[in-house]
This record gives sequence, structure tokens and C-alpha cells, in this order.
Amino acid sequence: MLTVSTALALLLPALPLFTGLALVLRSQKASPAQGTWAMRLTTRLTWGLFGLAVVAAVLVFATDWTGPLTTSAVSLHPLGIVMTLLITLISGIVHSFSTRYMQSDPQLTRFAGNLSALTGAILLLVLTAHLVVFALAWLATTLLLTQLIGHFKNWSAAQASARRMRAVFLAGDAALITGLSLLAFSAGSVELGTVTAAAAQSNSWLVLLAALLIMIGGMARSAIVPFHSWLLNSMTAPTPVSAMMHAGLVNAGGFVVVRFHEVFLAVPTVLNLLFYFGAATALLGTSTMLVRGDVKRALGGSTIGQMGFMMMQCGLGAFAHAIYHLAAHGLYKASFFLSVGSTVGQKQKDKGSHQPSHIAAITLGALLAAGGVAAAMTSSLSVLGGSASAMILFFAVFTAAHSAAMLMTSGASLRNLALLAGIVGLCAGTYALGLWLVDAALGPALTEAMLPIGLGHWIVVGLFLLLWLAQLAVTKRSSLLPPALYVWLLNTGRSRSGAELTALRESQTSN
Amino acid sequence: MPQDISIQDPVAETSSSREVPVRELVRQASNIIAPVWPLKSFVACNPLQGLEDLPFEEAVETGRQLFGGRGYLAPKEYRTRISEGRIDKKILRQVFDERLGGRLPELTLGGVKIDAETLLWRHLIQGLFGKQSSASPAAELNPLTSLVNRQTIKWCVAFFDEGVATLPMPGRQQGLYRAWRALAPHDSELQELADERGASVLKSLAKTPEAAIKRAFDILDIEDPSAHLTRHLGALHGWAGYIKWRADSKPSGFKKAPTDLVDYLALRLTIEALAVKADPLRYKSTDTQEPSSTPVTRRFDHLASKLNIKNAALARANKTEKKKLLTLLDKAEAHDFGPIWLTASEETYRSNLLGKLEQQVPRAVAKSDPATQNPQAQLLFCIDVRSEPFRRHLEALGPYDTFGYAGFFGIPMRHHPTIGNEVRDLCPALVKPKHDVAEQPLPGQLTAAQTLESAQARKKQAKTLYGKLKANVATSFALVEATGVFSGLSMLARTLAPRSLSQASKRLTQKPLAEQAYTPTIQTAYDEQIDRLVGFTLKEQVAYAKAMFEMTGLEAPFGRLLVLCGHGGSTVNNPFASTINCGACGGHSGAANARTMAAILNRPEVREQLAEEGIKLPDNCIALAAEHDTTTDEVTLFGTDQIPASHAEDLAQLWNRLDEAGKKNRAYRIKGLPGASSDPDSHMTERSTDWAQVRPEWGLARNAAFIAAPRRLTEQLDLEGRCFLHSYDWQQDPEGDTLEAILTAPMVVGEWINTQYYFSTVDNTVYGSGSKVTQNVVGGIGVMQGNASDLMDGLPWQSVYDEDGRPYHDPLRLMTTVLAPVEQVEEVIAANDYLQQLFDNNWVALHVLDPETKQSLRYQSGLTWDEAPSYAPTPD
Repeated sequence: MLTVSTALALLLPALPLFTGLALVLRSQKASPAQGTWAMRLTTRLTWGLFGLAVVAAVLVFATDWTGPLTTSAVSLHPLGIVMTLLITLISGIVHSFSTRYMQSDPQLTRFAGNLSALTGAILLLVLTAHLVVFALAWLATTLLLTQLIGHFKNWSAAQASARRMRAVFLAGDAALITGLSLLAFSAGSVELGTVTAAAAQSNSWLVLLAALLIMIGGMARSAIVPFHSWLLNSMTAPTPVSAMMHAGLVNAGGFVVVRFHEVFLAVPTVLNLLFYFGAATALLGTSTMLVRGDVKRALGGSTIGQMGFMMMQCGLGAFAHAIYHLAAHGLYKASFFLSVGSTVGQKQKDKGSHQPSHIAAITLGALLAAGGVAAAMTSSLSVLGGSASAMILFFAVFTAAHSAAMLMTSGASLRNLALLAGIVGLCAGTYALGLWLVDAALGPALTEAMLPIGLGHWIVVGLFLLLWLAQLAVTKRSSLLPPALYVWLLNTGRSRSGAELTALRESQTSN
Repeated sequence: MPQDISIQDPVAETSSSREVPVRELVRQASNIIAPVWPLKSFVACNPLQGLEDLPFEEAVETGRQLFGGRGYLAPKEYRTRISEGRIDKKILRQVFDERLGGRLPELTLGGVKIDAETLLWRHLIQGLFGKQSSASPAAELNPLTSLVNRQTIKWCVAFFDEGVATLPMPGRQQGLYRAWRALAPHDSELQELADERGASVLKSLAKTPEAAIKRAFDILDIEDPSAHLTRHLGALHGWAGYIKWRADSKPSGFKKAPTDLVDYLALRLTIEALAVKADPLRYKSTDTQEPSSTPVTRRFDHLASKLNIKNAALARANKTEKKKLLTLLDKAEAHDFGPIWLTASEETYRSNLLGKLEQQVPRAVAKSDPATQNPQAQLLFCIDVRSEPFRRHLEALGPYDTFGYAGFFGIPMRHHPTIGNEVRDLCPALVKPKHDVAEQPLPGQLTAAQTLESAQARKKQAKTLYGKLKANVATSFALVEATGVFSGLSMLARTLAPRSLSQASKRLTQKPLAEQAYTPTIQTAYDEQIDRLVGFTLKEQVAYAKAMFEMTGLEAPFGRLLVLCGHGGSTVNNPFASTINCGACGGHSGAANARTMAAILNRPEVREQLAEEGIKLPDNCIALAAEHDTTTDEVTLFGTDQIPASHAEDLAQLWNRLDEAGKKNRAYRIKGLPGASSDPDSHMTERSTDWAQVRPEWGLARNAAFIAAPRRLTEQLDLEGRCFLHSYDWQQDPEGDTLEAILTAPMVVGEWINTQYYFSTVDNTVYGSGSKVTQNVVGGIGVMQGNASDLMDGLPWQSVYDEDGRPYHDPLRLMTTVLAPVEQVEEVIAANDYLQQLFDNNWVALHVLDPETKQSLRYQSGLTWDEAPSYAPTPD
């Protein structure tokens, strides 16, 4: 069984990586027809990988549910398999989508190659347990994403965006690699299991520094404040690349924290810090989304906010929650990006949505919220863990309360109300089930690590609650923001140079 | 002078005698800008519409200076077309001789005479420099324009948003300038820009946009205000055009954010003044540097080796001679070749088409034999170029006569459907809607209507809930966690099996077709739901019906079915969905107009009055509405359950033949579609439901001609879906009224479409909207490229270029052909200035096929006609 799983763990990253690199190397001379062929090849390959990932999942979870974190260069560890399933699924969809969407791109071979290689690099990153390989894979994703964002070589705006992203990433990469080196140095090993185990035992300043550096690397990747602006400027990328990036690559920050959770748990201060960075990002990203008038950058703001929330979860030690969040968000955001074409004139009719009684809605919502939180706090909730979990549940309770209040005041017919409530219930059920599955897959090491909750955490949640109520209560929405704040949000993440605006003349027709 | 800025009353300001008022200056300057419609009701429009009073070639040159847009295809593409035979060499030579022959300077190299004409001809057809093209790369924007653009775009995106942003820009109801003025002092980007020296300006921004413009003129020390405003308007002609459209047509949301170009220019000029005031030296030079070209000697050596110029001559040639020769070639390619290539391309197509049409004139003119002319059904299609192949395939299947008429069936209406909530103006942009039409449930369809309305309400509530949760700071996180799995599943299905998904969802919801459950309100009545008068008076009904028969020459004998066939395309996840719909219906489907016209025609009162006018529809002739889906070539017939049993068989037969025609047309069309599979029937459905499909169909690409004539003229010809066909019978139109109506309305719409396709093809960045792959939908109104850009107007790259990156659309100016006595046509043109402008300035070419002489005449400027066809192609 070990040999089969090792072979699988090797094939999963190696196949797309080498196929992709081979295509990129040949892309200079490739004709459009070869581009179509290359795109088909990598698409089939990626779906094949998804199949392999399913096999791997069955192998590991059926034969050894918890799965050992082995020390070989690549291994099928539970977290790696969950990530592999997600990545191959999204990459498969993005590949299939691109076969039609990117059909007339003159550089389709290079595109297919880079996309495939990026998939391989991410798979290597999630499956490896060797620090050097980890660092190399991490760097490779930086370079490959730069290629994809700057896919149009003649378009200076795309090149500027790519350069900007690369600069932020490389700075983060430098921090991360330094952090990894410190860990390896102090443990005298390059094997992830050994290194994290050693770090968990010691509480030297070296581990603290390493954790900080790794966190910085993860933050740059996940567009956490103050690294958020590269993401808002990456819309020069072809739409499928944005889907892949927002669903796959930005998650790397959350992943790296979870992957090195033993190190972080040894220095909870860093996790606390991460929680606050995450909270700031969640607020900033979501607010940025609210003022954006162009769809892709509004989605960018949303991603930043969601990444912030993921980091809040990491900061609480709710690692399984974070993994579930990044998976659900990945699917959600990829779907949004791929359907950006559907947004013309869509919201026009919204103005007439009359809300009969706001006060009723708010009261009802607040009551429901209070009840829900009380229930969550007092009940045992053993599956979902301790109080950190309750804190995350708080957000679900806001949402459920909001939905309930809106449905009750919507004036819908009884039949429609029942149907809609059914849909909301189904979503809630899926949420619980999904969380339970991820919990079960990741095992106790990752699910029972939650940190104690302090006053600071509650202040943050209180802030969200306040904003929620404010947004519910204020009817004249434009008056919600003071002018200075509005302008500040509008300027968030704008590049200083004017390069973003240059025309893309002939970027498609040549080179 | 700074003290002038305290003027607060724009009226007082306009009374100043020495200057033209600012508002008037802006109005004059904005004439060069073509309006840009929002994408949801995309209206094809000539991007150089403001320059149509200039001859085509001059307008194109002015467009290059103002907008930086090219007016012709790349030289390489034309040369390839020559080598492929798509441009006839003999015609090309004729055009070349006309344009350049005998007007060339003498050239010498080292004392040896060089034949400039031969040299230029070779350059024209082959290109003498290979890859070292003399074409200069796009000039970089100067930093000041770039900076002003950046700020303008930021505020335009915020101001014109129609619901993408949850929190709109504050103060929008005051107009763009005043709203911006309130926010500008808080803008750190502006503070940085203004620096210390400009800070005073930023602190005391003028109160009115007019005053702001004047103040900026003073600060910038502008000598020619008009030219300066024009430059600013041309810098982002998409946004400027959109503002122009909005200010002119005042759409429903206008009052929420009222604004015009005065506001827009005030914002731009103020920012410019701010920057210049802060750092006058930095932006001193506004001239762009000519990009350095390849050194003379190297280019010349390349040329010499290609031309086999003798070494002796070459050795003696001095630099001045070399330079002169190169300049001649470069100038010719930059200025003369474009029009020559274009004219030759056009004449190659036109001489071919005219030759075919001339042969058909006798057939079209001959009185047809009444015995053969006994149609089972008559079908009216839109003039749209996509109707032609479908009509051809349908006619081949049975005794059906088809006609071409504007797809809104002459009824300018605003449609308020109960299902599908958008209110739409269903008429060409040239016309304002005159009637409101609502829908009421049919007597036997109340349950179906209820189901539909309930489903619609449910969908809306779910959408509102989802939207609210998504846009809330606290609820968006759990929403993602709760719905992510479903997003994943839907994404999987939409990507891997779009066709099955759409079929399955149709079967699952079992929704009845809204058009079968409702009928348009015809009779004048007050509609409570939309709070206005809907419908038509009897007089209006008769007038619209009568116009249809007169315009198309449709007359007795009538068949048992009279089918009014509107059209629309079907596509998903496509911001440009409206571009494949009916252009005569403002970028929507024409189904509602067809249903309205059918309902009018079936009213006994209408028929009575029509009979008095000489249009006698027999009782056994039933009008039936239909919709041609141009993407799938499926035709839906509406209101079929209202058809009496007596016509059941006719209906069944029609159904079968439409089906068959659809099959044939799909097989015909699939050859041109990239990425097509071998089964046209399932493939077309797949294209129309696939969210990753960037080319659901080719739309009106390759359109090239407009023919006003009876169908008999064209029914024997395969026109390759390139012609707008308007049915017209000159014998019924002795006064020329109908012809005038055709030339001034449908043909003009044709010209708008034609020029839009033309310019979107020759310069897809400036006049088109670039690749779909990097488009970014903005505000629900249009698209930008990448992070932010000008509002892109025109068609996306994928709509006019094929998968090999070559233009699929053949950019030719519209050729209009009318079958009528030349005097009749001349009278119409003589009475209409706009038509003269279009024809005299070469925006449209006009040919008349004379029924008497059976010859074609070509219109020359100033109401003169050319007898013989000007150009003869190489004989086959």
C-alpha cells in the first residue's frame, strides 16, 4: 500500500508539472492548431489527476483514516489530499472552461503549459513534506502565476500588474524561505514532520521568528493587509486565470499556517497577531468590495475579505474551519469569476425591493442571533470544538438570522416561503456536513487545537455585529460612509503608476 | 485670472460678450463624439458618427488624430488577401492607377532613373520591407493625459455604477462635477498630485462646472479652448460617448445621477489644471516623440537586395536619394495604400455581386405567372443578414414566399413584460418608442400565468436574499461556506455538460413559455400595474398594419398563414448578448413586436379597415407570430393553441418545414464556426448554452450590402448571409415615399451596423472592445479592459476575428442596391440631405438596377450617375 500511495503522491504533481513545462518550452514555435491540441491534452490530464486524487483519498481514508504525516519528499497526508481534491477539481474546471473560452488565443500552448505547470507546482506544495521541495514549489508558483497574469506580453498594463504581483510575492517568499531555513537550522533537519515536532517542543525566540516569517510569507500570498493591493490589480489576467488564482493560489497563505500548525501553536502570540491582521483584512476587503463599480475588482475585494476571515479562523486555531472555508470559498469564487459575463444590466431592478418593516426585521434578527449564540455557547458542540468554534459559529448565526428576517418580511407567498426556507436549510445542512467531513478527514491534530478566546477576540466580533446592524438599519445607503472613508476605500489598492490604463493594442493579434 | 472664478451664476457668465459661453463651446466640441449605448440595449453605431459630414478618408484621418484609431486593416492582412485572390489584382491595378498614376515624383539612384510606379506597385502587393514595417507603434500617452485619464476613470466608474457597488458614490444627484467636488479634498491621490503649490486650487474648487472650466482655461493659459476641449473628449471617447448618450436620451435612472459633458470636462480640466499648477515644468511638453525607426541604410540595403538593384548604381547612391525613396514608400503606405486596398476589396466584392444581380433583373421585372404564385404561407423576416440563408433554405422546401422588413415590424413600442422584468424599448435607436405594450394572461392560461409569476417572485426573493447576504460585512463569510459546495456543483455541470444541464433544468422546472400564456395588450387601456396607458387606437393599429404591406410590397394573393418572424440570439454568460439580437429592436429579440403585429392583424376591425384601403386579407388567412433563434436556427411559433382546427394541417406542415430549414441552415452555418463538432444540431444548442463560449454565433459579421428589391431578384442567389434584404416593389411606390422611408431608416440602421463592424475590425482596441478574455464588466453598463480603462464601445475581438487571429468580418463599406428607375431614386436622394451626406462622403455606395434598361448605375457624388460598372475583375 505504501508503494502505491508514494507512486500516486509522486505522479500527482510530476505529471502536470513536467507536461506543462514541456509545453511552455515548445510554445515559441507552436501553431494555433497545436495550441488547441495542448489545451485538450492538459485538460484531459487534469481530469485524470482529479481521478487519481479521488483514488488517493479512498486509499488513505479507507485504509488509514487519519493518515500518518510521513517524512518522505511527497506523501499522501490527509491535509494534502483534501487540498489535492480541491485543486484538481478547480483546475479541471478551469482547464475545460479555457478550451472554449481561450480558443482564439495565439499563445494557447504557453497558456496551457503554464496553467498545467502551476497546477503541478501547487500539488507539489501541498503534498511535499520536505522543506527544500516546499520552498522550491512555493517559488515556482510565484513565477508561474507571474507568467499567467502577464499572459499578454505586449500589453504594458498586464506586464505592470505581473511585476507588481511578483515583487510582493518574492518579498513574502524571501520571508517564508528564511523562516523555513531557521526551522531547519534549529531542528537540524529538512523533513517537515521532524522540524515541526522539534519546534513544538522548544519555545525559543528562533521559533517565534520563524513563525512570524512564515506568517508574513502566507500573508503576502493571501493578500492580507498590508499586502492586499496586488490582488486588486491583477485583473489583466485572462478570466480563467483569475478563477484559478482566487480559488487556488491565494489559499496558500491559509494552507501554510495549517501545514505548520505545530510551529504556530508553540507561539500563540503569532496566531493572535494573525487573527487581528485577518480581521482587519476581512473588514477592509469587504468594504472595498462594497464601493467597487467594476465586477472583477469587486470580486477581488470580496476575495481579500474572505482571505481575512480564513486567517481569523487560523488565528483562533480553528484549522479545520479554515480549510473548509478556503475550499468552499474557492468553489464559490471560481464560479463567480467564470460567470463575470452575466453581470450586464443585472441589478437594474433592485431599486424597487420594498422592505415592509425594517424594525421588525432587525428585532427579529437580533433576537434570533442572541438565541443562536446562547445556544451555541451552552451546548456542547463536541464535533465543532470549543469556544473558538462558537465564535466562528457566531457568523453563521448572523447569517441565519438575517436570512430568516428577510424571508419573513419579504411578503412571499406561503409556498414560495417554504421553498426558499428549504433552500436556506439545505445550504445550512450542507455547511454542517461539509465541516464535519473536513473535520473527520483532517483528524484530531487539526481540529482540537483551538486557542482560548480573549476579550480582544470578542471586541472584534462585536465590531462585526455592530457593522451588521448598521448595514441593516441604514436605509439611505450612500450616507453610511463618511466622504473621507469612501474616497479612501475607492483608492484602496490602486497602483501609483498610470500603467494600468495603457491600451492593449494588438496584444491578441501578435505575440 | 483667479478673481474670475468667483462667478457663481453660469447665466451671468454666458452674458459675457467677448467669449462663447462654456456650455456652447462644449456642445460644439462634443459633436465629434459618437454616442455609446449601455450594453444591455446595445445599439450598433458608427464610432465616427460625429465625423460623417466629412468624406470617409478624411474622417478616418481625423479619427486617427482624435482617438488614435486606425482606419484600415493592417497592411500585412491586405497583402495576404491579395495573394489569396480575395482582392482582385486587375481591380487593384485600376484603383492604383486612378489614385497614384502619373502623379509620382522622379526618382534616381546614383544617377540611374528608378521607376517609382513599379516600385510602389510592388510595395502595394508584396510589401518591400518584410518584417521591418515602417508602421510606427502606438504612441505612448503623455504623462499628463494618462494622469487625468486615471482620475477620470476612477470617478466615472463610481458615478455611473448601476448597482454593482452596494455603496454608491455619495452626492450623485448633484451631478458628476459637484459630487466629485465634495469628495475631492479628501482624495489623497489628488492631495499628492496638487502638492503644496496646487493645494490652494484643491481647497477652493469652483462651485459650478462652467466656472471650473473657465478657471482651468485661465490656469492652463489655453489659447484655443475649442481644440482643448476636443482633445479632452477624444482622450476617453468611450466614457465621453456614454455620457453624451445618457444626457441626450435621459434613461430611467438619469435623475439619480444627472450629468453631462460639461460636468465631465470640468472634472478633467480641473485635475489637469491642478497637476500643471503643482508642477508646470513636468508637463510642459505635450508632444509625443516620434518613435525612432530603423536606420535608413539598413532598410535601404534590405530593399536593394529585394529589388536586385545593381551594385554600381547602389554604390553611387547618396543618402538623400535613399531617404527620398524610402520616404516615398513610407508615405504611400501610411496615407495612400489604405484607401486603395479598401476600394479594391470593395470593388472585388461589388462587381461580383452586381454581375449576379444584373442577370436576375429580367426575372425580377417579369410579371410572374399567377399559376405558380400561390403561396401556402407568407413569412416576413427581419432585414438582418442572418435571415437570408434561413429564408433561402425554407423557400426551397415548399410553396412559401418570404419578405424582408425591419424586425420591429414598424411598431415603435416600449414593452412591459410580466415575466422577465426588464422594460425594453423595442425599436431602432433612430425612433423613439410611441406606445407602451403590456401583457395580459390569455383566458385559458391563468394557471400557467400564476405558476410563472410565482416562480418569478421566488427567483427574485432568492436573488435579493443572496445579494443582501453577499454584500454585508458580517454575513458574507458564512454565506460562502454554506453555498460553496453548490457553486462547485453548478460550475461542474455548466462546464462539462452545458447542454444537458439546460435541458434538465427545463424539464425539472416545467415552466410554460411566457409567450404562450400571455398576449400583448392591443386595445388602448389603462394598466394598473405599470400605471400608464397601454395599447393602440384602432387608427394606429391600421396604420402600422398598412405600412407593413406598403413597405414590403406584400399583396394578394395571400396564403393561409401570414407569419411574422422576429429574431433573437441565445447565449449565456455573454456581456455582448444584445449584439446578436435584433438591431431594429434596440438589441433585443423582436418576438414581442411580432406578437403585437400578429394580434393586430387578426382583429376583424383592423381587417375591415384594411380592406377599405385595398388590402383584402381573406378570412382563411391567419397571422401568426414567430421567433427565429439565430444561434440555434430553431423557430418558435407563438399562440399556436389559438389557431383554429381548420389550419392545423398548415401549421403542422409549416412546423416541419421550419424544422427542416433550421437543420439545413445549421449545417450551412457550422462550416464557419470555430471549434464546431460534427453534429450541427446538438452543437448549436450547446453553443447557445455554454458559459465558456465566446462566439455563440457570428452575428452580423461579413455584412456588406443592403438590397431593396422584390425577393424575386435575389431568390436564386446564395448571398452568403452578407446582405440586408428589404422587400421593395418600385411599382407600388410611384411617389418614392416608401423608398425614402427605406433609405432613411432601415438602410441607416444597416449603415450603423456596417460601420460598427468595420471599425471594430480595423481597430479593435480603439473602436472595438478588445478581447472578451480580459474584459471587466463595469457598473452593469459596459466593459473595461483589465483593471480599468476607457469604456470600451464596439464589438469584442472574438466577434470579428476568427480563431487564427485573422479578421473574420470582411471590413467593407455598405453597398446599397435598389431595383427602381433611376429618376425615382434620384428624387428621393435630392430631397434628403442626410442621404446625400452618406453617399457623397462615401460612407455608403449606392447602385441602382434600372428595371427598364436592366443595367446597373452607380451613384457619383452630387447627384450624378455612372453608366458602366467602374471596375471589371479579372475574368475567371
